[in-house]
Amino acid sequence: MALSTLLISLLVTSVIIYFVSKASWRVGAILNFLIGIFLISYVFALHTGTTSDLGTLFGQKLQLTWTNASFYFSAVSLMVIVSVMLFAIKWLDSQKYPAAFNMFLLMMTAGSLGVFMAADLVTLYIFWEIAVLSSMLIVPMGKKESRKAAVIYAVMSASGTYMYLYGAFLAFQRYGTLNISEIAKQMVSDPSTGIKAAIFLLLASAGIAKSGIFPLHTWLRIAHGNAPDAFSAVLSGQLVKLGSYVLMVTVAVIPSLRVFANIPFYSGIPATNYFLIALGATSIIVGTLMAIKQDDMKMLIAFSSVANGGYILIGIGTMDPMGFEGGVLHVFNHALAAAVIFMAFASVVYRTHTKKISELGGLIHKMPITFLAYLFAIISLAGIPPMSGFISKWMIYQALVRKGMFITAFIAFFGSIGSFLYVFRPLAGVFLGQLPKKYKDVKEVSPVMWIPMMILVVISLIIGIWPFPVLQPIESMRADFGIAPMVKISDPDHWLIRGFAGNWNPVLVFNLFLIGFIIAYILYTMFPRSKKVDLLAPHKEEGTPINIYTGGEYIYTPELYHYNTKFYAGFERMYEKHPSWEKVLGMLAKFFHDLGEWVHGWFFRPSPSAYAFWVSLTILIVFWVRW
Amino acid sequence: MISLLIAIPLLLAFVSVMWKRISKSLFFLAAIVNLIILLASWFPNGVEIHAMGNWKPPFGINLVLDNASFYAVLVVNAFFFLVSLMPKFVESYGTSLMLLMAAANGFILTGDLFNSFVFMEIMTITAVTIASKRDNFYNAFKYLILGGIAGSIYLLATIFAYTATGSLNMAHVSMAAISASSLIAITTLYTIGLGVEAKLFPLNGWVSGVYGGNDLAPVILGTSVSFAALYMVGRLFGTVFHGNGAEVLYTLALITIVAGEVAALRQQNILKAFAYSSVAQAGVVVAMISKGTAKSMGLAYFHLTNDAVAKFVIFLVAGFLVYNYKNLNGVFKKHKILGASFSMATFSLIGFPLFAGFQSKLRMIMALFSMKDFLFPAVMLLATLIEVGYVVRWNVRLWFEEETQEKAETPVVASTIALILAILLVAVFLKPEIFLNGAMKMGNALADSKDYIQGVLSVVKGGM
Repeated sequence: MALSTLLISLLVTSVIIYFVSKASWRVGAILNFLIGIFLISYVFALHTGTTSDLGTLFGQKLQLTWTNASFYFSAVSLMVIVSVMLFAIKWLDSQKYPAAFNMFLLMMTAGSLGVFMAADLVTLYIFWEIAVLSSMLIVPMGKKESRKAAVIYAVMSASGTYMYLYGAFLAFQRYGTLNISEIAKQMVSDPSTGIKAAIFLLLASAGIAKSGIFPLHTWLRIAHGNAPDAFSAVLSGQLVKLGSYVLMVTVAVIPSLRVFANIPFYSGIPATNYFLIALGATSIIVGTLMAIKQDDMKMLIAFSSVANGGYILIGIGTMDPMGFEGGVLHVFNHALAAAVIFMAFASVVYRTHTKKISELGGLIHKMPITFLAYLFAIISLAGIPPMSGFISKWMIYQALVRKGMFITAFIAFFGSIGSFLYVFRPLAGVFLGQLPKKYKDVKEVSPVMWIPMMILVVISLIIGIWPFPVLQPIESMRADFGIAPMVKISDPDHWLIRGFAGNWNPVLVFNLFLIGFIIAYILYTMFPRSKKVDLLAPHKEEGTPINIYTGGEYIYTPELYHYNTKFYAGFERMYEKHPSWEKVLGMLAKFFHDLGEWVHGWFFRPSPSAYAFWVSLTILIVFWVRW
Repeated sequence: MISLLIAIPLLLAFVSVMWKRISKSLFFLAAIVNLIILLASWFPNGVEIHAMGNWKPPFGINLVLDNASFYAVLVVNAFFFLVSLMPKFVESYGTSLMLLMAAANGFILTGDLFNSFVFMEIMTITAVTIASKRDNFYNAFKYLILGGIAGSIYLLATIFAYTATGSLNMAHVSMAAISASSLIAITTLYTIGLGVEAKLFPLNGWVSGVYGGNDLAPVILGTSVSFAALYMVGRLFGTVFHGNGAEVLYTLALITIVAGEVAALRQQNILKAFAYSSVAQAGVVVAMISKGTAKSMGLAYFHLTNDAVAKFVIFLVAGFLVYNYKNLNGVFKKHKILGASFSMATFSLIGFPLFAGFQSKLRMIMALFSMKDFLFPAVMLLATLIEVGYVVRWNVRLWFEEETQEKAETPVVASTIALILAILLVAVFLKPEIFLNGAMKMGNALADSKDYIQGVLSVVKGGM
């Protein structure tokens, strides 16, 4: 099957899925899952270099082509999407619009695959918009706030997309082609730095908006936080990776080191790349600090996606072989971790109907498998060995240190430590601690829901021990982009990843961890178990746990004394009065509203005599100008 | 034969005054006969004229059918035909609609400046009667005043043209050598005179009141009549005055785009919101026409066709909703087909892929870049960004908010038409040639004034 046939038939199938789902949404969801499985096998069977035509626009061929990068990003995306499709077979019974969900999910899959396959800028744009449109229509299916979230998501995404489109046509105007690799070739020989930089930054802005990099990151909180729960896994695990892909295209497919060789800024990195790196670093700071503050668990991980998008951008932006591989590997790691975390949250919400951390607690007793999935996912997200998340962060640090980028390296370390703080908050607040009485009948979710989580966790663990199957396609990608390393980075023969400051032997590390775990387990079995005490206060019928001493005082608002309220109060107080970027963007939106108000008030509302006045004034002005 | 396009609706309009009861059927008859006549004389690929009373041009009044006027008349009559399929909608406005149809056809077909003024006046007056449906009198009155001012300025421009060239025939005026200063006066006055109908800022104060006042006015005025008015912009500034005064049009149009979109953004009434969006789209079309090449004009009318189809669906659905529900939250849950058509039409308006608007918007931007115009695409994309904001907001509100009311009866014919047009928008995305070929022929015909002059002044056919 040709690539274009595949995508078009996927789009058509999605409409069929809608009508099937109308009859029985479960059949639709199962069909979706089967299609997903087929897609995975299809993707693995494709040979690089396969191309197919999509049509022409003004004599410009629109083409799809299959590259190593397409393979890598498609495989990661499908892993996340297919898991969510499996998850949805059960989870959808809590949703209001299952049929539309199935349709748009498949449509979005087609759009995303099209983006990764696109050989030219307009094809990329077309499939990009399909992915945005269909995902934007899933977002408002959530709770009340999700409606507003959809609008904000659409507008922020569009602002990046239209800048991209402007850049695409600017490139077309200058180089007479839309083909990405042709443009890349011509940009190298183009003498005008200004136009090249403009094209570069305009194209990158689509990626900035989509992957939640600093000035355009605010939609992640509201959209990921309020979208239907399982779909947040796709949004954060897969959809933001479209942005990372576009960033990679602008930085690596267009060989930015050679194109901007005349404007070096620091340690051989051109100013344009450094600008992106600075944005990435800002995202890490903003994302981490804001994540620490959140009481809403989904918003918390949404901000962590901002920070992780920053890591990916920094890694790729250095264009250092180690950094590039680390950044691209981080795409894989974050996709898996975020997907599992959001699916775990979806399971929790599915059973408890709340996403406020302070209203939850002690679910480890009721949902142990979900807890395990979450635990392993956050270990990976925080970058702790032996999970795969460590390796990518380690590689990025290596690159930063080698390049001597100390400030960026410091920020990256800061973000990593901050991530320990924020991933611990839901762990302590949702799964540990005491179980509120109202959740005493909560059960573990069905296997259909925990199996996809566990599969992703196991993959992440295996890749943490033996990362070479993932590093292999990344190395071929790196070779495609002509980023040559000084030493062989991935060395499966010696079980090593070779860095500039020391090597990493994942197998050895795993074994050490395993031994440590075994010792700890032996100690655990040797010593007596802890006893459970019921501290539930009897004076409130819903029974919020209060593990505090009340000193004879009657407590009216036990929630405020709950240890999960203001979990990191001391830390948060340090940046309580931070400036809010959301407010700045809100002001911009308000500006357009006010402008509309003004135009309406002056020109559109008035009486006929005022209209006559405007007509005469226009005549006078036009005559005055033209004479 | 082409005079029948004007004569039949005009005649039937007078008949319907006496025979009020069947005015709807007469309107349907007029629309379908016109459509058959048009299909019979499919794209003339040359210039056919009809000299009234056998007065050889440039002396008498003549009607001109070339590719440009044919495409415009086709689109205009197609929309009238669609309206005539919905008798519930037409109510007692059959006579007005027929008169409007005659006037719009005449306005497009005429090759005479004064005659076009006459038809424009008839068009405005009948449009005002339609605008006053549902007691929307004050807004109709505003439109009447503005239309009257515009008419007199249009007339003044025609008088100036006559003084400068001694002729009223468009072809004749086009070939005449006019002094630079008179040309400035003429084109400026035409800009203002047409600007009111073409919805140019700041002459478009009437639009929201008229389109937002009832359900019939936006459907017909926002599609057919604005197509006719924008056709005349292309004819006058493209063919007759060879692009003189295009910079003024360009500037006003760009301001129109931004003003229209920001005004739409703050609008709480759905009909008015999309009325402002139609202002902005008219701005896009006028700015594109003002670029003056055959390609740019062709793309302008391609975009206008897509926009008109989308707007027809949007206004049809919105009009139904506004007059059947007090609160629009979540109404599409009850009207899935209307909702799907509405959403598809609005997405086409933004220019999302999978819908017709994408084809025209992308081509326009591409053409503008190859003309080295970097400002207009930026304005267009900014406007689209604002458009995304309110279009998504309306869609989300109409689909997902909590519903509160009892279901009103679904209009079967209207929802069928809306759905067919929405599917047409998808078809145009897949195969843009459906509209693009005709629009491009129109653009070529408008830009080629030599052919027009030759065609009108050398060939004489027909007679009354």
